[in-house]
Parts: sequence; C-alpha cells; structure tokens
Amino acid sequence: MAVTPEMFRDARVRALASPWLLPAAGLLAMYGPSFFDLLNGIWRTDEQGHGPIVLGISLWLLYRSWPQAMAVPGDRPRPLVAWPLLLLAAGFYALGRSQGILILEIGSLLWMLVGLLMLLRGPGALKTLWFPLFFMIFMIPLPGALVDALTQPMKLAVSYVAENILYRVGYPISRTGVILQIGQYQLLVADACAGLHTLFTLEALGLLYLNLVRHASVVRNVALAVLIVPISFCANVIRVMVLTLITFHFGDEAGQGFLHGFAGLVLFMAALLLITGADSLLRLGVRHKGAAT
Amino acid sequence: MRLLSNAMWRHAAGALVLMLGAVVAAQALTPRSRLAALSSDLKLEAAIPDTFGGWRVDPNAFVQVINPQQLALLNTLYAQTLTRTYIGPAGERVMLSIAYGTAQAGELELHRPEVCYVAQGFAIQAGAHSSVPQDGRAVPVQRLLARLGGRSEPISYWMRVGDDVIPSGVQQQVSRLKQGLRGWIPDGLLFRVSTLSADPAAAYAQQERFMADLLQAVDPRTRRFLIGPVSPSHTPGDPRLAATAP
Repeated sequence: MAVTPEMFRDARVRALASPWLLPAAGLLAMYGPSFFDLLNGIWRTDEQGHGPIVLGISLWLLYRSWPQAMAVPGDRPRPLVAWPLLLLAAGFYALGRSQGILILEIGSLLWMLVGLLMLLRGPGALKTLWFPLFFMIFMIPLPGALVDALTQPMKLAVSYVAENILYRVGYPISRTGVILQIGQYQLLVADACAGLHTLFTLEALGLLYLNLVRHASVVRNVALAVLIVPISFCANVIRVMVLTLITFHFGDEAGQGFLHGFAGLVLFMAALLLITGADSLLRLGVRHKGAAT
Repeated sequence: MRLLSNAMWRHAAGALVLMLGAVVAAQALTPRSRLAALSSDLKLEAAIPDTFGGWRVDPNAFVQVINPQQLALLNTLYAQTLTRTYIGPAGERVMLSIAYGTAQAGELELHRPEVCYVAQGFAIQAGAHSSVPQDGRAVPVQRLLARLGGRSEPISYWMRVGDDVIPSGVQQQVSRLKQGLRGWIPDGLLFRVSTLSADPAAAYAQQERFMADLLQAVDPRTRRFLIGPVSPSHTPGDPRLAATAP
C-alpha cells in the first residue's frame, strides 16, 4: 500500500509520527506483561472469561472514536491535572504488579489513560472517549474476598427463589442453605450459578448495546442499565431451575451434561430475551409519555 | 503550533520516563524469598502427635468422603492438609483440620471458614474473638457457629500468614502486603477445630483447651510452624531462604 498524503489526515495514522508514540511504548512495556499473565491465568477461568472480550471491545471503541477525540476544537492540555493522575497510576501499578493485587495493577491502566489524555490533548478528548474508558472497568478482576462477600447472598437468594417456584408447581423439592434436594438428587448451587460475574458480563454487554444503539431517551438508557441487575438475577434463577428439572427428569448424567454444555447458553438466551423484552416495554412507556406531554 | 508540539514531545517523554520507572519499581518490589522454604521438610502428619495431654486420635472416626471437585480444589490450594478427630479425657470429640499453602497470593490464598462453610450450604454466624494463651503470648482465635438443618457446629480457628497470626480477612491482606514489601512471599496455615454441639459456650471452652494442649505438646519448630514466627529475623541467616532469593 502506498503512503498517500490523504492517509495523514487520519488522526490514527498521524498518531504514529506524533508524541503519542512515546506513551504508547510505555503502555506496552507496563501492561504487555500484565495482560500476558492474565491471558495465561485467571482470564482462562469461567468466572473471568469475559475479561479479554471486554478488553478487545474497549480497544476497538477507543480506536473508533480516536479521530473524533483528537479533533475536538479548542482542546488544551492540562498538565497540572495530568501529572498527579499519572504519578498515582504509576504508584498503583508498581504496588499492584509487584504484590499481585490485580485491582491496582489493571485498574491503574484507566488512570494512566485519563492522565495521558489530559497531558497530551485535554478534557475534550477525555469527554469524547469516556465510554470506552468506563467500559474498561468491567475487565478489572475484583478481589476474591469482595466477590465472595457479594456472591454468597446472591446464591442464597437464587436458591430460595428457584426452590419456591418449583415447590409451588408441585415438585418434591426442599432446600438447606444453597443445597437443593429434588427427588433423590442433591444439587449444590455453586458460585458460578449465582453469577456475580455473569451479572458483570451482562451489564457490560447491556451497556455496550446501549452505547452502540444510541437511544435518544436518557430515561430509557438509565432504566435499562439498572434493570440489567434484576434481569441477570432472573436469568440465573431460570438456569438453576432448568438444571434442576433436567436432573430430576433425565438423571444426574443429563444434568451434568447440560451444566457443561448448555447452561451458559440458556443463561444468555434468557437474559437476552429479558433485556429485549424490557427494552420494548420501556420504549412503549417512553413513547406513551412523550405523546402525553 | 510549533511551540505546542514541542511541549507535547517534552510531556510525552516525561510520561515515558515515569512509565518505565513504574516498570522498574514493580520489578524491584516483587518479593522473591519464599518463607515456605523454611518449612518444606515439615510434615504435618508426623509433626502433630496422635496422643497428648489426655487427647487421643479417634481410630473409628469415619473417613470423610470428599467429592472429587472439592478434592481437586483443595489440592490446588494447599500443599498439605491434615484432618483428624480427637477424643478428650471426658470422651468429648473435637475435629481438627489444618490446611497449609506455600504461597499466599491471589487465587492461592487460604480460604477462610466463613467462606468455605457457606459454600457448602451452611449458615454462618460470626462469634466473638477469643485467644489461646501460649508462652506469654495470646494467639488470637476467631469463633464461628455453623448451622445446617439440625446440625450445629461451633468452630474456632486461627490463620497464620507468614509471621503473623491473624483473626480476620482484612488483616490477611494487610499482612500479606506488609511482608510482600519486605521481599517475602508468605506461606499460610489455617488451624481449625470444630465440634458437633448444641451448646456453643461449652464447645468453645473445650476447643480452646484442645488448642492450648496441642500447642504445649508439639516441639518448638512445629509450634512456630503453627503460630509463627517463621521468618529469617527470628531464625537468622537461614541458607534455605538465601537459596530462593534472586
């Protein structure tokens, strides 16, 4: 491909021969090894499997909005805001990377990017890129203790609701804590079933959906973003109930097969249907309100 | 325009220096001395006596069948585990469980009983902090009450992270960080005793008596292994630790 003058009009290409080259090399030196470790470590597990996807989407969103961010008129660098942010990020990184605290190590990337934008471009660019930066929050691995603390009550609640629904429709089911007893089978509602991480993945996907669709209505956007939390809960209840029923009717083997093959799929299908359903209802509601005023 | 561009290059170069500095600092701060190297030859099975101070191992204690998934998790988390049931002077039964992991980092951290029991379906009620006297120091003990259906299981436990015996999860992190910044990768040990009893107060007293008796009965090295300290400042110039340093 020949290098043409037109190509340099693209801010992404111009960035290659600009001061951005230096921090880009710095970012690679800092976070290259971090992401390499993540990809060979916890991003391989089911619970954190959404990490690389979120990273990829964030990078793509950054790439997509980059020219727009670099072309904000009247944008001036703010070094006095930028340097404290950069120092903070560097400190977080050094501490997090050396002591194995992922929330600091990976979280520092966000502060670093915000600082660099303020240093080399200004608040206008930051404002344009807020969504991809915000989206990156979802790829930061949470500390295990926090995940446990939040997951336990969710597990109990999921088990409780699943048991009650199945009991009401006449199944011989009982529950002790997070252990469901149906017929001769005993099922333990595991961490993965209650899914703090599925909640995160769904919330991330939902926000991405909202960002790409770009509804004009703020009410509808916010409402849907908030609704994803109960939707994720319902999807998990549906998954546990489906698993319980398959085990009850077709035996333990079928249940285990389902667990490893299709449980995740059912979860996301259920969530997707619920999200589209909620979105349609919201659209009706917003339109109705719009017509009334 | 030209001036702005020059300032930009200067700022960008400054940022690059800062970032490379962060990379170097992270490398320098990374702990490399494994405290576990000091105890690699200590085997819990042999170090914890079968009989001591009126207590003896219950030979008929039923062997717990652990489901395979659980066993796989235990094996990745811990280098050594010990589970025994002891019968006391008055015929009381105390279940002892010790788990030892060589490196306290991220996914390999000791799992606290608060989390483990709940994951098994128990409802957990955190009890008071207590302590077991040992050689003029007080070993902090956390009390819990686990319930599942009609089963009531009072639990007392402590955790050692490297040099520190710690009662709570937050301190587990603080302690790991503190020792990490000194260049040590701390090992971790969970010492847990529990009884099946509907009378928690009596059970806790019984458990603390068992703990004190056991600490008294073991040799000094095992005692340090159980309640610390294990670090080189207390066993100076240990060559095994130097061998693991970079």
